[in-house]
Amino acid sequence: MKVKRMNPINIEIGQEIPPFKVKIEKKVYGKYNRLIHEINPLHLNLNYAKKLGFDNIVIAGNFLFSFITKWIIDWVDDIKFIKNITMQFEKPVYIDEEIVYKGKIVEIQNVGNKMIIICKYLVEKLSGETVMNGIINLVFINNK
Amino acid sequence: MAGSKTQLVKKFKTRIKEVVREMGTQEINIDEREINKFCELIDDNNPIYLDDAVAIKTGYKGRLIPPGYFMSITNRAISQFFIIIGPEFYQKFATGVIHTSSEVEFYIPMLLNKKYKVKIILTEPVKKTGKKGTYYSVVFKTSVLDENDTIYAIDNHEFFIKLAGDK
Repeated sequence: MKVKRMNPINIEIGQEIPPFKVKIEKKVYGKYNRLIHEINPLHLNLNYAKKLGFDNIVIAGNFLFSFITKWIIDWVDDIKFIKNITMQFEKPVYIDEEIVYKGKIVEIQNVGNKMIIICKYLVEKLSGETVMNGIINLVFINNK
Repeated sequence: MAGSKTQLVKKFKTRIKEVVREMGTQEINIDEREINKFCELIDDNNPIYLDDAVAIKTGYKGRLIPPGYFMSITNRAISQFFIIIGPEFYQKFATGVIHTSSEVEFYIPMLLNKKYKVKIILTEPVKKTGKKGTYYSVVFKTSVLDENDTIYAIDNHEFFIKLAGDK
């Protein structure tokens, strides 16, 4: 269910954002790196990544970020609501690993005609290991 | 020994500031082909990124750049920093650099086919000690602006930089 189609006033603390699962395949990640002109060998070169102690090529934070906004916009149905996103990296995500974005509403603030919805999220591997976490602030303007 | 380390830290702080100053403000050009490809790669078929008519009907002046592409833009600008500072950075100063966190603030949706520029401001490196030893936290406050200096979004892109000799 999309937030925009609900009355935002009915949004509740504890409400979960529908989880989003994605597997970043080697071929797709290679194309992304060429598109953005990635230069960091950690995201390009298996030998280099292994030399630094990683198991495989590490997916860059900027690509993981791409899926946060897609996930949230698919939920709220409008790009204007997203005001702020934090990301804290805990563990590397490797190519061909499947990850799940999970989140829920933890706080709702009413400031003037604005409703600020604060969501906490985390990104997990299928093993349950958390790789990233953060906060997303959404702002709805009530024009009534 | 302690004196040479102090010198290294001082040179490191001076050099990174010099490079950011040298970089100045960078103009960026993001075209339709780039956004079409990005949307294809992340499997995002939201028409406000792909179809001018839909974007206009939704209330925008034209197609938008997906907010998810914003950090790809800032990453490119920050990469430029590492290109300019070059191998000297790893030979003289750092033994490791890792992107540890970001805080992104969105102000105005970015229209496609509009001129933008990227500006980086560095925070003063802060020495920290944790489970992974001693490192310096440096935030690249990377803003995307238009020709009138209106800010569209900011990425506070934090790196932990481990200096030579630190454990």
